[in-house]
Amino acid sequence: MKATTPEAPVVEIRRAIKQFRTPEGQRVPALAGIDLSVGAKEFVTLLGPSGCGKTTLLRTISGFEALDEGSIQIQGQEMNRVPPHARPVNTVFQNYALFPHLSVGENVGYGLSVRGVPKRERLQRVGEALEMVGMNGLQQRSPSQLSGGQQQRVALARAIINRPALLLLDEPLSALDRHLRQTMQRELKSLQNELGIAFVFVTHDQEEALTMSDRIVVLNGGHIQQQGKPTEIYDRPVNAFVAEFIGESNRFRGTLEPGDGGLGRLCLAGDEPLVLRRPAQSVAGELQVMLRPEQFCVHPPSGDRYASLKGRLTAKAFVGRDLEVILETRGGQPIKAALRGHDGQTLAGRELGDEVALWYAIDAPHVIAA
Amino acid sequence: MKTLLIHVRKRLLTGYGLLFFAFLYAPILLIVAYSFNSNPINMMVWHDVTLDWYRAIFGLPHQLGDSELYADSTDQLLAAVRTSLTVALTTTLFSTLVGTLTALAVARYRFRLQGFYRFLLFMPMVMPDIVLGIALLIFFISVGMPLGTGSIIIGHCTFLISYVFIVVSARLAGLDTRLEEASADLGAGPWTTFRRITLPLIAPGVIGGAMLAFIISMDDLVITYFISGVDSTTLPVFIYGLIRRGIKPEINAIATLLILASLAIAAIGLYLRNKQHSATPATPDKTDPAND
Repeated sequence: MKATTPEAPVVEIRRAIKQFRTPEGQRVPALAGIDLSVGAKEFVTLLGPSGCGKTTLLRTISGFEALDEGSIQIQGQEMNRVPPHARPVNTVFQNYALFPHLSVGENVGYGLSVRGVPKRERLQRVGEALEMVGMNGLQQRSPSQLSGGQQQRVALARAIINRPALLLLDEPLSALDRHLRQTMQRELKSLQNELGIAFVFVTHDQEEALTMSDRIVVLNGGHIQQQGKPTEIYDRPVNAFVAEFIGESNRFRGTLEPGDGGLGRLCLAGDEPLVLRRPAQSVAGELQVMLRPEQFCVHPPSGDRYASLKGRLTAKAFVGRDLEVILETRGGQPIKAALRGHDGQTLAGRELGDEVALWYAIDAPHVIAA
Repeated sequence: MKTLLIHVRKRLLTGYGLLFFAFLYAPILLIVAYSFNSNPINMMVWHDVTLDWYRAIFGLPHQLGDSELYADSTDQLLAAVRTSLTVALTTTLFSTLVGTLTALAVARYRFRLQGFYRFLLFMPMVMPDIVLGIALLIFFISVGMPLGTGSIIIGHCTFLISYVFIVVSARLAGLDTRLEEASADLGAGPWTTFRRITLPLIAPGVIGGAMLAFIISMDDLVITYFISGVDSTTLPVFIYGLIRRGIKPEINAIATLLILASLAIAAIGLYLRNKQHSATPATPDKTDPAND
């Protein structure tokens, strides 16, 4: 069985460099030496704030931007000089870019029509593609008669009808409302399984990235900050940017001192030390440690594997499932925590200004580069 | 008291509206009415309803004396109409083609001095006709080009390309470039994308520009007056020549026919435009699932 062995990547990008020139004549790096490969059936998300280079990277794969340096291979073929219409990829555009003068059926069948597929086969495949996105029967409609979600589905059907090796999606869900976006996230994921092709999905929405991806590539300033499975990215961010961009985090800066029994003490300015399990690799000097808000509790299950931080309660807000609280330590460090159940109820009964202790497992603090 | 005031105000507004349209259309209606007046001496005094002026234009038998008509006008008139149509059609074809291509180039490519080129393309539109006419005349004489249909066509193209350029540019500005990218993405080469996506979407602009060019070319007097030769008179220049020999009622009939022709052209333009807009008819779908 070949399916279990790692297959050759669909896309292989090496040392991609691309600069843009501002109207003032300055050169702004959009891609500053990117290496990326996408597996045959992988769902890869390019995630980052606007201007991080994610859309540029996508457009170099589709061929709308040329690289200054580096190479792009698709299915083992060098693509640098291949124009967009000759590349075996298709794109779902941000605002769908449906042809307003063509019907839904003509839009979806456009890719087949320009390739000279006979009408009979074309109509059948248009029906199949629309069926996959749950829109069969609406061939005669004009795109302007469709809702946003329906237009989204037509754009999807149009992009998959050529059976591309790779589907590129440029923030396709950003124009939809929250509820529809969640539905479309599930549908996109199952569509990808059904088609068995690679998806490269661009978004600035971290929740979307965490939900759908096999692998997340976090970009900032034209560099890949980190790539890995959603849980890896969330639990073990490699730097402050990733920790900050994905989810919420509390970061503590200090110097590490060895303690007893494999423990370490992070000495913080003006506060009691933060106790943590000493990281496997020896780190010296100043470093940063991250704790997620949901890693705190008020009633630890056991005393020995937990440590606490103390501070004054400065804010609390009930946001549905969690009670969100903010403490301020003596040294002035704010700590954000999301507490649930009994923990939440306990702190809900406390007044602002009260001194409280928040507990965390000593395994929880994650060391990131200083 | 208050209701009376509102009532009076409403009346005043209606009166103003009527006056406004009278201001716009009274002269034109007057000319149309006079074209059916049989009084050959003084057209302001109504005699009888007659079609003789029209008959005279088309060379049909009529009961008018030669002194009441512009002498041997019919052949000359038809020749002028022919010249005008030749000029207008050629000019429209050429200026629409060049104007559209120029608009595409300026909209789709980035090059040095782009703003300056854009300015140069605007200039002929604001240039006074009289200056353009004299300049063209001097130019044709200096390069030794004989004045005639050819010189009129070249002269008209010099400023009509600008008109088409501006109309098509406006349309292109509203065209999402991602539609062209989507076409390329789906496998269409540049020519296919132009033919199947770009051109249909800018067609209303191209048609509008062509209509504008045709009407302006048909109508132009000042520039054409300078650059038309003796044997190549366009209709406006010909009519201007007639007027200089005194106003006779026949002119009213010619004017009325011109109005009809303009209305016909405008109607065709509107028809083409609407056809374009309803290229994807909003056909009600019977097997229509509920919208999500």
